[in-house]
Amino acid sequence: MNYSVKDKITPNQFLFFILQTQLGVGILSLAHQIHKDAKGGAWISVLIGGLISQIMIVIFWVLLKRNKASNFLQAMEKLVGKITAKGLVIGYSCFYALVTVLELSEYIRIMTKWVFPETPVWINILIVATAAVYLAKESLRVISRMYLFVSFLIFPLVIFTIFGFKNVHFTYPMPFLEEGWLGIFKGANLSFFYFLGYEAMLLTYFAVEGSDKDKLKAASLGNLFVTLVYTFTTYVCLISFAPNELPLVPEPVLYVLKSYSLHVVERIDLLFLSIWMVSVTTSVCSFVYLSSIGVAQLCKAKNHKKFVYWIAAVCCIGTTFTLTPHRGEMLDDFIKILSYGFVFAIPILLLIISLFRGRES
Amino acid sequence: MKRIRRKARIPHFEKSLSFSPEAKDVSPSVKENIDYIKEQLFNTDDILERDIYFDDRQGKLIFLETLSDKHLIMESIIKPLERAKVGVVEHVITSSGFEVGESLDKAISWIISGKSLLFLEGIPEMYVCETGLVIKRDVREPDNEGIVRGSHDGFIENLITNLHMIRNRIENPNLVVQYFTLGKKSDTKVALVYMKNLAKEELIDEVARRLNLIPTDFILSPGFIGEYIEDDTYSPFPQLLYTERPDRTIAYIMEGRFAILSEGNPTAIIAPVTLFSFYQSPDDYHSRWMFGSLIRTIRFASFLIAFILPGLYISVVTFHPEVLPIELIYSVKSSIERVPYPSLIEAFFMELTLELIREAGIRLPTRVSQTIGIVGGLVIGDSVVQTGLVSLPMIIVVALTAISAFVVPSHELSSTVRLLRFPLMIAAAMFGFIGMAAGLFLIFTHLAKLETFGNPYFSPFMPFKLKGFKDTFIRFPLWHLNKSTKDSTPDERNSEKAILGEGRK
Repeated sequence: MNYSVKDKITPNQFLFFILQTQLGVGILSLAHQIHKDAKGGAWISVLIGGLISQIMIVIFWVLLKRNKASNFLQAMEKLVGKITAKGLVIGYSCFYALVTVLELSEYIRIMTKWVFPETPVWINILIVATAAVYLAKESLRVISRMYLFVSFLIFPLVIFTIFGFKNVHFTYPMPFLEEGWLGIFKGANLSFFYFLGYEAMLLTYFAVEGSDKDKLKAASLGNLFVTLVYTFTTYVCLISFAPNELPLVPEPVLYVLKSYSLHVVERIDLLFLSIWMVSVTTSVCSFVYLSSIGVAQLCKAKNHKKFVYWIAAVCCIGTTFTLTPHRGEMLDDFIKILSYGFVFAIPILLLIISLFRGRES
Repeated sequence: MKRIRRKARIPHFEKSLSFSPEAKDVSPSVKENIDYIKEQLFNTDDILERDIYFDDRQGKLIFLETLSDKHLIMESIIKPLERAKVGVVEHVITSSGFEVGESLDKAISWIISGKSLLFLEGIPEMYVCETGLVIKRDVREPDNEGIVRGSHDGFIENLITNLHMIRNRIENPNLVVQYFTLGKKSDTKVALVYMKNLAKEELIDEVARRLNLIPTDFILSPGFIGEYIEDDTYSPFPQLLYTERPDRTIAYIMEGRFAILSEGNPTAIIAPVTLFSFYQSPDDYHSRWMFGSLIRTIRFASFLIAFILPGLYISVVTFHPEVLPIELIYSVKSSIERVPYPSLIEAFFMELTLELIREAGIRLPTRVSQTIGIVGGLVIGDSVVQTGLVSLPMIIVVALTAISAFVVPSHELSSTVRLLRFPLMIAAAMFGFIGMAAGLFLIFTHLAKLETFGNPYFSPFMPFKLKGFKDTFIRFPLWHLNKSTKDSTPDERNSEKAILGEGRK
């Protein structure tokens, strides 16, 4: 499918599309996970993770800038030939669908633990999926509009976290280099996955109006914002919990919020979870949208609407199989390996091909 | 747009007024003509005819007494004719609208629109004089849109008077009135009013197209027109603004929107509008801008209260009582414990009672409706708590919600808000905060995709436009507003310049 007038978005909207796609389930458990490897330097790891994402964004950008076309499939057809291009698009569609499953299963895990311990899982999935599908079936422009609007919710997220400064200990994470640079890079390697979402560039880049420079600026700003939010929350968690406490709390952000009251509202973590749920919904919506856009491009369909329903249905059913801890971990590891391929290796490979091609002509 | 095209495929029924299919010319014989007209109107009893002698000819004047102004007929037709005795009819008759017709088919449509026809023996022509009877009430402030300060006039049921009020206020050659005749079985005159230099051309073309495609038999109210021309009939949100105030109408026209007025109804339809248009009132511009902004902010708060508060309360008491401070939990819980029903049923019971009282109050004359207020408000309100059917906090929530819903200056949006809180209440009762979040997400997604006449409905939020906020939550001083961009108009336009005729090439 080609992008119609209704799918064209401004660089500003592109910024928020990237931002909301990146900002997903990760924020709650980020500090806990990175702390395992990097200890007090976890926030540096997150910062480095953001930097790696930034480099990848530039790589994507150069690749897409050099291969102008009306959509991703056509750009790749020019670069690597029809069959490989189709394979690539199929691969990315599946990858996005798998990320959807991962997001959903992580969401369900936390929801079951914190809010709905006895609600059947499929109802939980249905709530998010309904909201996500309702938005994902719309045009890219509507989706981006909505993303920009819900981005206002990031302010309360950050403000709630700032209130957590009431009882903190700045010496908890010190020394930052306790585990050495090796530990920090290990953590950065892990945090890389929490920044996933900018690969949405691949399929949406050609729908953005404006110069290439504006597009790069938009994507980078989106990534910068996410990096700042992640680093900030990680740092707050590091100074709120003693180093030997943090491995025990899987969702440190929520525990920080739970520990204090605002006099008007007592349980801020519940409000935080409701807002976080919106962030997850937007991420799920993005990945479902991207996946269906890929399929629509393959099928040369007029729009992606009907694919959204099918892909969402498959993802929802798939999610129900991943909910045991063991399977969840397997899926997690599997997607980590896949992301190295789809977000790291393949784009770089494509860029190299593109560079060589460029020299030929 | 697609929808309207589909509707237009409905076969067009011929106007089933008894027009004879073959054209019939006026015959030289007066009697033949009169008989024909009477026959075509099935000898209805309100046809009057009067003998006329002019130019030594026997003639007849025929008209519908129920539609024509007898006094006007006497002054402008009969008297001049009798005084002159001979001459050219065109020169003698002093009626403001005068035509000479030759086809009798047209005679029928003329006569049922209130014109008088004059036939003279031996002349195969008829003289058509404008003698329509206009009965109209006085211009007064509409009851449903009262304001504190500002002009106190309102539209009435007469189209010409309404257009006069608009023209009188906008003395500008760019103001254009375009007439349409709608209805297959009964003609209703509808006027489309806009500023030529401010309204986008595509917008006017589109609305004209949609108006011409309306396939209905007759137009009862502007709601008829509205439902045919709006973009999304399945949306709970009103996409057209209805108002009876001329000042409000011209304010929108001067922003590049259009207004549709129809004969026989004091309501103007204004489009394209955004959600926030419904929260603006002329009063905002009559008070100082700070106070105007405060009032407007309160109105928006009322919007949120009206459709979120019941759901919020339900989710707090059913799922997350720990959100409340501990002292409050005790008093709320002690009140709820006496009620055996889940809070959703409480809420539904109370909200429905309130809607009942409201509906009953509207239909009844003022003196009786006071009784309703006492019975509904005092008796029901007090005794449901005493009986233990509904808890006290729920009464507070419902009452607050009701008041907030009535703050909206537009009746249409007020009903939308009242309607939307029911699904939110159900979502809250099922899934607490998460359900609310999901419900709100769905509603705002709907708002994000809603467009009216190609303009985003939830602007300036979606798409986000910082400049648009100058007249949204806060009413900036008026000299600021002159430069603000409006969605319905070309972006580069500076409204003041455009009004002076310099805006567009």
